[in-house]
Amino acid sequence: MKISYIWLGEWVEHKLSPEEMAAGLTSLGLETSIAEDRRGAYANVVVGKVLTVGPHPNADSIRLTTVNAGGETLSIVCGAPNVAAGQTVAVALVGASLPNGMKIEERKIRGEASFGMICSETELGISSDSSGIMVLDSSLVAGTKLSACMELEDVIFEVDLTPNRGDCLGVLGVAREVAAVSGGKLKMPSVAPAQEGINGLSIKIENVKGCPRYTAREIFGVKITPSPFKIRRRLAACGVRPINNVVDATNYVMLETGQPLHAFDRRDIAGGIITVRNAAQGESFTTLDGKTHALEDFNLLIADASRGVALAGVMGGQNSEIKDDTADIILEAAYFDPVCVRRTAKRLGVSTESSYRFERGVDAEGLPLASFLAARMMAQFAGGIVGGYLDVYPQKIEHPPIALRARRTNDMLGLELSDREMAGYLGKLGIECESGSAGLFAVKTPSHRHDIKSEIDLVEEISRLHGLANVPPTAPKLAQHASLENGKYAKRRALNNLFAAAGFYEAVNFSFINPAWRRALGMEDKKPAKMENRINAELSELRTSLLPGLLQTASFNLRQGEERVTVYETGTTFRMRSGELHEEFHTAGVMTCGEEEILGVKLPRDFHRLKGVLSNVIKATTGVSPEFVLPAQGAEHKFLYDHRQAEIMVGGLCIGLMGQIHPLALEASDVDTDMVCFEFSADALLGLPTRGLRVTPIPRLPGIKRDLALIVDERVEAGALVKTILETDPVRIRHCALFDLYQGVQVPEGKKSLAFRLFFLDTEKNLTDGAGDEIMAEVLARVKEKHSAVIRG
Amino acid sequence: MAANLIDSLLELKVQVPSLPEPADEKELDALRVKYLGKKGIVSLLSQGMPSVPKEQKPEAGKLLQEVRTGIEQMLERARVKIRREKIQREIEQEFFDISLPGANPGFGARHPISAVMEEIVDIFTGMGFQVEEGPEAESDYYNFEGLNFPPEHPARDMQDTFHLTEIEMLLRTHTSPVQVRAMEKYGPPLSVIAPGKVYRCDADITHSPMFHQIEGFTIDKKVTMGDLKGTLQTFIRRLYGADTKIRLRPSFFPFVEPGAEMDVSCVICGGKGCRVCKHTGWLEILGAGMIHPNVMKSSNIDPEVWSGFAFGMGIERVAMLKYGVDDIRLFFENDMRFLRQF
Ligand SMILES: [Zn+2]
Repeated sequence: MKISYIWLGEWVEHKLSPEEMAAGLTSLGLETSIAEDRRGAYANVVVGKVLTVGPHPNADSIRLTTVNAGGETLSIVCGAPNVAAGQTVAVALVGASLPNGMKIEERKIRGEASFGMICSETELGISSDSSGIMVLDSSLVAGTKLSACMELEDVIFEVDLTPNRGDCLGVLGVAREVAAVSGGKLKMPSVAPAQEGINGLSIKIENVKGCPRYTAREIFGVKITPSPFKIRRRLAACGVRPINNVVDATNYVMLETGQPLHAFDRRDIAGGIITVRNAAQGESFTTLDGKTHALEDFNLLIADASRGVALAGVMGGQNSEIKDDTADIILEAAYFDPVCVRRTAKRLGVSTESSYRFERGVDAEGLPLASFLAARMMAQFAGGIVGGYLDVYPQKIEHPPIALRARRTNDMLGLELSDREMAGYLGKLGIECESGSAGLFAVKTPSHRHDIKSEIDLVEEISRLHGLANVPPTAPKLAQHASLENGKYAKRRALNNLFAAAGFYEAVNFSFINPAWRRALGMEDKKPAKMENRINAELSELRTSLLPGLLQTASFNLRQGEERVTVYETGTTFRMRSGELHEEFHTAGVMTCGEEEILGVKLPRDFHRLKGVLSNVIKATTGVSPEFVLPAQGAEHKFLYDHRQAEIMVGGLCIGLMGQIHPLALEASDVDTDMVCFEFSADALLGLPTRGLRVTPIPRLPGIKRDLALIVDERVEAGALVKTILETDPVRIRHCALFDLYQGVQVPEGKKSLAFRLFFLDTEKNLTDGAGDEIMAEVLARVKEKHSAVIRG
Repeated sequence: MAANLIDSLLELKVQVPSLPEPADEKELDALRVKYLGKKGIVSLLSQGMPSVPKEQKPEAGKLLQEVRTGIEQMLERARVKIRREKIQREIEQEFFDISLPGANPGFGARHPISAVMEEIVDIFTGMGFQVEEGPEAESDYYNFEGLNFPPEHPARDMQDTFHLTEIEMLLRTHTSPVQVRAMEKYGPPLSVIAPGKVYRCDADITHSPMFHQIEGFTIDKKVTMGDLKGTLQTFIRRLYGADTKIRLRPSFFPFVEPGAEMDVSCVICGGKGCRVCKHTGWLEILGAGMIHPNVMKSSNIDPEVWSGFAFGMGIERVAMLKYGVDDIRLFFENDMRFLRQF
C-alpha cells in the first residue's frame, strides 16, 4: 500500500523525518520503505505565463511560445495541443531534472532554440495525464517556485501490510501507529450531527450477518467536474486513478479512513428502498467494469425495489453509476462481513480496493466519520448540499473486554515488565487497561482493532511496542523425544552421498510432470494424482516415477551439447491407490552409454558399469549385496530392452529396477543417445531390517588360489557357472570371481571363454597342492556335466 | 714379531679414519678386497696371531677385532652414501608430468540445495533439534486450518496454493504442517526440525513453484521469545560467522504470535549496504514467532501449561546468497554446467 507522508501529517502530530517514520513503523511491524522521494525534486520548476504562441516553421504539430517565468522572457518550443496565450503554466527551467528522469537543457527542436519546457502532469510525476500541459490557477505569480504554490514535495511510502492489519489500510490507521512511535496526538476531525432520515428512502437488511450495519446519506445538486489538484495528486500518488469529484471523494475518504464508500445516482434507486439481500441463484448482474456475472445465492447484493444496484463490498453496478449529469447522490457507508465479501470476490475472480479492505475488516464504528468526510468533500468540491442520513445497525458488533495476565505476558516474552509499563504500551495504541487485582487487567480494545481477540494478541502488542530488539536472547534447553529418530533422513543423505561419490550428479526436478513424459516410457501401472497448475498447465500430474523427469534432464543437457550425462535424484513419488494418495521416496538415475577413457584405460558406461555402482552403493548402505534378476516372463518393463533389464533384489525383496532404455522410449523422450537407468524405492531400501553384521574370523591358514578358464556356449550365463562352481564344495571353495571374458578368433564360433579366480580354504588344516587338484577336478566335472564346459587349453 | 703385530695393528687402527673415501661401487669393492678380502691386509695380519706370546694374545685379539669392525663400519657408511647419491641422481634427472589428469573415474556432486539444507539441518541437530518429515501432499487441515488459518481468511492469500483435482488435497505451501503432525504424534515436550519440499503457485527469478523450506519448533514449559531469539542468533552465527547480527521485526503468520521476521546483517557487504540488500544492510531470511495457542489447542496441547516457538526459512534464498546465484530457476534446470560447479 502506498501512503503519503504529508497526508499522514494531517492526521497525527509528529516531528519525524520520513526516514525516521519508515524505521519506526518497520520496527512496529509495518514494513515501510520510501517508494518515491520528491523532496527537492521541483527545484527549477516555476510558475510561468504564456505570452505568445506561434507556429513552428518546420513542423505543424509543435508551436513556438514565449513565456514569462519571472526573469527575462523565455522562448520555449511546446508540443502540447492545448497550449494557449494567457495560460498560467508550470515551467521547467534549464537545469531542472524532473521526477520522470528528464533533464532540461537548452536545446534545438527542429531548428528552433528552446529554453525550458512547459510541463504536463506526467512530466511532473503527478499523474498519468499526458494529454496536454498542466494549466494552473491564473492567480499564481510568474517566477514563483511551483513547490511553494502546491503540494508537491512529498514522500510516498510503500507499506507492506500483513493481512491481520486491516485497520492500517488507510491514513488514519497508519497515523495511529505513527502516534505510537512519536508519542504525538491523533488529529481526529469531529463529526457534525446529521439530519436523521432520508425523505422517500428506507433501508432493509435481509442478511444481518452479511451486513450488520448500513448507512446512507443524500447529497443534492452536485456538479460533476474533475477534482482539484490536491485531491487528484494524492489519489494518483496512492495509485488510484482520479475520475470525477464525486467518485474521487469516495476513494479519497477510503484511502484516508480505510472505509470503502459507494456513491449511487439517486435517479437509479427505484421504489424508495435499498435492500441488502442475497442474490437469487443465477441472477444476472453487470458491474461497473461492464462485466456481466451470473450470481450465486451466497453473493450479497444491494438492491432497489426491482433489481440489484451493487455487489456488496465488491463493486457497484453499471446501472447506477455516477454520470456526467448526475445531480443527486446516495452515499453508502456500510460494514460487510469479511468472509461474505471474500467468497464473492473470489467466486467472481475480482479484487478491488473495496473488497480488499472489507475482507480484512473495516471499523464498524467508523462509518459515520467516513460518510461525513465524503459528504463534506462533495459539498466543498462538487457544490452539493448535504441532506439526510440513515443508519441501520440492528446488532451492535461487540468487543468484550479481554483478560490480560502480566505474569503470562512476561513468561511468554522472557521479560520482566511492570504492570505500569504494560498498560503504558497498550495506552500508546489507544487500548484501555483496567487494572483489577495485581497483575490482571481487563482490557478494552477499540473497535478498529478487531484483530485483537484474545490475550495472546495483547501480548503481541506489548512485545512490538517494547521492541523485539529489547528482548534479551536466551538459550533454551531443547527437549528430546525418545521415539523421534533422525534415522531415515540421515540414511537417505548417506545414500545420496554414495551416488555422488560414484560419479553421479544430483538433480532436483519438479514433483509435477507432463503426463506425456510418463507415457513416453509406457508407465501405466501406477495411477497418478492430477493437479491444477496455473503456471504451466502441461505439468499437470504428480510424478509416479523419477525417471520421466530425469530423462527430460538428460534430453535438455544433450541438447545443450553435453556428451555425457550422469544424474540421479532422490525425491518423493506419488500414486493413487484405492482413492488415497501414497507418497514414497525413490532414488533414480540415468547415464548415457559409451566409454570413458582415462589415460588409455577404457571404462565402459553401460549396463554392467551401472550394475557395479548399484551393487556397491546398496552393499555400503545395507551391508547386503543385491541380486539382479531378470523379471519373470510377461513382467518385463516395456521401456527397457527385453533382455537388458533386471529387478534389484535385496534380502529377497524387490526394491526396484535397472536396465538399458528401449530405443523407442528414448525417441519418445527426445533423447538421441543410448542410456541406462535405475530406480528403486529409497523407503524400501532404507526400511529393511538391519541385521546385526557378524564378522567372519580372518583365516589363520593360507589357502590356495587357482585360476580356471572355461570354454562354454555363448548363451551360458556367467552367474550360473559361478553358482555351480561354488556349489561343488561349499565349505572349501570360498570365492569364485570372474576376471576375464573373451569371444573371438581364439575360441570357436558360438563359444566364449570365461576365466575365474578361485580360492580354496580349509579352516582346520593346511590344504596341499594335491587337495587343490582334487577340488579342481571335481569343479571341472561339475561344470562339464551342467554346462558342457571344457577347460581352455 | 709379536710386538710387531701389535704395532702394525695399532698403526692400521690410526690409518682407518683417514682412508680415501670410495667414489663409487667399484672403488668400494676394491677397498673391501684390499683390507677384508681373503688375502687382504687384515687377513694377512691375523695370520701372525699364533706367534704372539700368550700373555699378549688378548690384547692383540681385541685390537684385531677393533680394526676389522672399524673398517667394516667405514665401508658400510661409504656404501650407504654411494647408493643414496646414485638414487638421488636418477630421481633428479627424471621427467615426470604431474599435469596429466588424475586417473580416477571422478566424483559427481550433491545438488547445492541439498548441500545447504544439510548444512542447516546439521546446525540445528547439533543444537538438539530432531529431524521429522511429513507428506508433501496435504489436507487443508494440516496445511491451513490446524495452523490457525480459518477458511476464507485473507492470510491464505499469502500462499498461493496448488490443489489436486480428484481428491481434496493440496501441495503443502510450507513445512509448517509437520508442526501439527509432530505435536499430534509425539506430544510435548518436543524439539523438531523439518526439512522438505514445498509448493506455491508463483514463478519468477526469485520464486519457484517448488522450493525447499526448513521448519523448526520446540514446545516445553516456559519457552520464551528470548529463547527464540537466542536460538536464531546461535544458528545464524554458525551459518554465517560469529560477527553476523540479527534483527527481529514484528510480523504476522497465523500460526505464531507474537510473530516476527528476522533479518541478518548483509552477508555480501557486511551491513554497509549493497545492491543485494537494496542498500539497507539487512537481508530478510526467516519468519518466526511463539506458537499460537490455537495451534496447540488443535493438537490437544494445553497452551496454559506448554509454550513454544517456531521458525521457518526458505533454503533457496540462503543458497542464492551463499553461491551468488541470482536466478532461482538455475536450481531446477539441472544443467550439467551448473551442477558440475559444486
Ligand atoms: Zn548488502
